[in-house]
Amino acid sequence: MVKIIIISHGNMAQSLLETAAQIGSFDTKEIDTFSVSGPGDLENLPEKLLKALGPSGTLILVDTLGGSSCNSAVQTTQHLKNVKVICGVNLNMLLSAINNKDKMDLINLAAKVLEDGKKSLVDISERLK
Amino acid sequence: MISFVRVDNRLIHGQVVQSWLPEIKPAKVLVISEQAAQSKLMAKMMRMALPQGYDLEIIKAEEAPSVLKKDEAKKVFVLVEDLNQLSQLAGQKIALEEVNIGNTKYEEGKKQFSAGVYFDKSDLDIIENLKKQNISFNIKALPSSLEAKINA
Repeated sequence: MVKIIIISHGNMAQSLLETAAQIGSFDTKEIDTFSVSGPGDLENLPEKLLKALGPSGTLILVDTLGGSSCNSAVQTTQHLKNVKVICGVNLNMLLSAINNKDKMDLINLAAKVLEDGKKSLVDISERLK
Repeated sequence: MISFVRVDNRLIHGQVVQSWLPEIKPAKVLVISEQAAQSKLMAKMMRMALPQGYDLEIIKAEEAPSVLKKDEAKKVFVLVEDLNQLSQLAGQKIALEEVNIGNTKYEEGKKQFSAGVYFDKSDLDIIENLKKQNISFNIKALPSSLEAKINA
């Protein structure tokens, strides 16, 4: 099982997980979420993140490219082989990660989540015309 | 030519990219960070985070005078990692005038002044010292944020 971790500004990571749990059935305790917005959050993130990594690889989903969440995740895990960081997490990506984390290895899971994320962006109004 | 100075230990991140750069519209972002100046990874990530159209240079404080001289004709957004390095800039006779403080490193024992800004005694001493050199400060995360007061 690939470990899933979500890191965001504000409450997004925790809220995203809670929202995903209303749609998919899974154990939310298997997934860790971190915020970078409170006092000491960013400073304490590296230690917490390293403790949360999984033995069979970890997929870290962060909110935004270039944000503190992303920067810290990349710097903390840059030398680790079985960790991947993907930016721009949305609900579809998280659900994709949850649905596939037990079936795929880290490399394939990361590719799948990225692909599902891209597919989830649709101008539905335009498509229905 | 310096068009804006910000102290932000997160360097190039969401607040800077989404709010300050569109407000200030610089040609170049000059990052002053001892740590980032020595890290290829941080340089690569900052380039990725910065939208196209902005020049980027990441240097140590001691290199600032020559770099700013070279950039005299450009609008430069100076992004400084911490107050110590800001103080170094001032010591090199770089005209700073007004400095925005956006985020500082949180450490236990530091007092909170706004959402991301924490000072200890030595930070406040630096600020007092720089104020005597006619540098003024505003503490705010975003252009639209309310300014926090520096009352120790």
